[in-house]
Amino acid sequence: MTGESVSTHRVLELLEAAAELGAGATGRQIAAHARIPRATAYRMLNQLVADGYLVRVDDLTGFALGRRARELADRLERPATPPVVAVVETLRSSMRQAVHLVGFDDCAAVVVDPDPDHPGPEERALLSSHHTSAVGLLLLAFRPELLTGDHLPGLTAGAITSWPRLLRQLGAVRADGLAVDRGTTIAGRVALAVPIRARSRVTGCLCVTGIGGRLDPYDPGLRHRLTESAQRLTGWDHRDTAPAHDVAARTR
Amino acid sequence: MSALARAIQRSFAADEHRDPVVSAHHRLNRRRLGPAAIYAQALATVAPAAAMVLFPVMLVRTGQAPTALALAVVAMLGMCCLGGALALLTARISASGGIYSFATMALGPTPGLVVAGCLSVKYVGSAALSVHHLARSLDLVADSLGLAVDPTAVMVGAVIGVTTLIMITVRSGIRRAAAALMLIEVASLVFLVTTMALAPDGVGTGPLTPPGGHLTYLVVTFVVFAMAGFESATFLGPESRRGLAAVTRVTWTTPVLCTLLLVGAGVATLDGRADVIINAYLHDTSAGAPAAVAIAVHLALAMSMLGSATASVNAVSRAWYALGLEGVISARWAAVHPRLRTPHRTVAVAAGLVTATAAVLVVAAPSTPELITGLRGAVRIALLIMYAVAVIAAAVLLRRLDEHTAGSVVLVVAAAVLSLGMMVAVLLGEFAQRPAATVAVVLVLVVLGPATVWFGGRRRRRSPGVYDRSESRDALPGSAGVGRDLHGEPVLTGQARGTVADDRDPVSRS
Repeated sequence: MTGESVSTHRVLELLEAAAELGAGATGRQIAAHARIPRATAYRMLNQLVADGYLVRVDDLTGFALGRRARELADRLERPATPPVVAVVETLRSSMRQAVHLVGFDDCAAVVVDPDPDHPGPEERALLSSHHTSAVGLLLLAFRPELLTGDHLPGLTAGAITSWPRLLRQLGAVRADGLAVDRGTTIAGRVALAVPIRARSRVTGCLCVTGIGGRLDPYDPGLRHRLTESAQRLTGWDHRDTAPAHDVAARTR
Repeated sequence: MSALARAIQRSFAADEHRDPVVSAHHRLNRRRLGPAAIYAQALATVAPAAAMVLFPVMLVRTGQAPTALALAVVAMLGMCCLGGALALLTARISASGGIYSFATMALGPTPGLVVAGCLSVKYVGSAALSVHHLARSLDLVADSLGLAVDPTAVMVGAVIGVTTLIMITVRSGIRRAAAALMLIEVASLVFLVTTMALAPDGVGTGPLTPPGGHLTYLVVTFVVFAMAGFESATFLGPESRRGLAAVTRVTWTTPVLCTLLLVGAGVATLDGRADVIINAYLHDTSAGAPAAVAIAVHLALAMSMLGSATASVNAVSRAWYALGLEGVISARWAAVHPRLRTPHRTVAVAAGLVTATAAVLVVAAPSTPELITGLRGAVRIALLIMYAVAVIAAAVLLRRLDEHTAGSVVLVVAAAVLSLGMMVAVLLGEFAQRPAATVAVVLVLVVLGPATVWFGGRRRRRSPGVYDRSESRDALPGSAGVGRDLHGEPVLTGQARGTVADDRDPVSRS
């Protein structure tokens, strides 16, 4: 970070601390809460009061947010989507096949950003939580609590219908770090899914789907591109309710 | 969502205060002055151009210029520390009462009254001395031009004319006054610096009369008096656009700037480049200084003195305005001109007092020179008492706010040690020359003056140390509450300390 960005970051930390502690918090309390050295914090607090972002209350001993803090509204609420969107769009622009962004809930996969150029029921089936799809295999491989032991219906001739074989397959998915659907969901359609991780859990995946013969899920170049894009999205969790964070910045 | 974002979002739906907090200074031209105006006020009061003429004169007259310069540098550093200590206060408080309000808030009404008396003596006395000096300079210019006029008539006319000009300038609004002050001082400085830089060295000076008194006393009193006035910026805090930041910057940088100028003048004295200025000031053209230079030096001095007197009237008028706001003196002195938005009554009284005092000096000083030396002594003592109390106020107030750091402690201790040293040097020197007068001045300033006001029985209308409080319109709606102080004035208040705001959403609480 540059010197100027460190100062800006500290200013925001001080304002955030003042907001969290509430009106009347002293300079010492704000400095401790923001974890900024006191001399630096006092100097910055005085500047913030001079500029109107804070006001002094209680006969100068306490601080409260100033009216000018409203000018920060745009900065705080602006959704920082570019990194997530940029990563997915960059990947889409580099290939002709469909690229989908899928998030994992507690018990199912949610298609967060389907490729708009490849809509349709077949795509939806390929992205389902079914044990035959690449997305489904990834979900089950990293969420073993979802394994029920129920009957495994076969959707195509090559689909896995026995639990021992499924468990072996899930082991291979965990070892390889990716899952492949070789026509086991829809005959003639293939898919490759790579996990996205956040807080040491798999929170979603990037999935490429295509027609068998045109998409080679074992192509090293394709796997590398997909894996690299998924790594750039580390930290992403579609269930975050806070304003979208700059995921790429957090991972640097 | 972060607490800050929630607070901002809440503010759009929150109600404004039903009984809003309004600053006591709202009738002044609040938050209009730029930093240039604040610098103009401080620099003009200090009158560095005049100091650049008089400092070389003082150095050579001592006959020990190098030693005197070294002592002077120590005194200048002391003044810089004082500026730094005052800046600790100005970074946190903005008040028309300036240094008086700081002392009152930190130490209570009685020390505040001591400071009020001291600053009144200091600013009125130094303004009168400045006007007297200006009148003398104009008389010398008249002589240099060969105009045959009665010196006393010239000087009395000058006094009245100058004071009228001061009153017009100050009453016409602080911005115009500040622009005039800056122009005067910069023009004088440019002339003097250029003359010293271009003058041939080793010209030699004419006959010199050694001053009486110990070297340390002479040097310290000169430096303190020459650099005093930077604190006048504190009186313009509420009228400054970014009062806390601008006044703070001016308060600590002005002594530094003056130090650089005086050290430059001192070095020019040692290598002889200041001889032309010294000869022009002391001997006119008889010691070889060109007539044009002699006239220009006297005019530069006169203009700098005019600026100093104007700025002093500016400063003391605001201090008296603050006293009127509080009820320490009659509320009529807190009147503000409805159009010009300046405290016009206190300006008029200050200008009148300066006129009267300067006129007495002009008329009576030739036969009674002790009047000038006595007034000068009283001003110096008042100044040093004021500074000593201000340093203590800085230490106490920061302790109360719990905002001391290692740096601020070191600064305040250094300022206290140096200002105490300077005060002792000056008091001893004054006592050695005028024992009875010195004791009388100290008694009046420290005891009798405050006691008179205190026992005058006037009931304060506001809490002691009225300052430019944050108003309701300065606070983010919903962020601060409104309470009442001891005098029933609405003030901004906060929530209970040490508790986290209760309305975090469950997600962020986990």
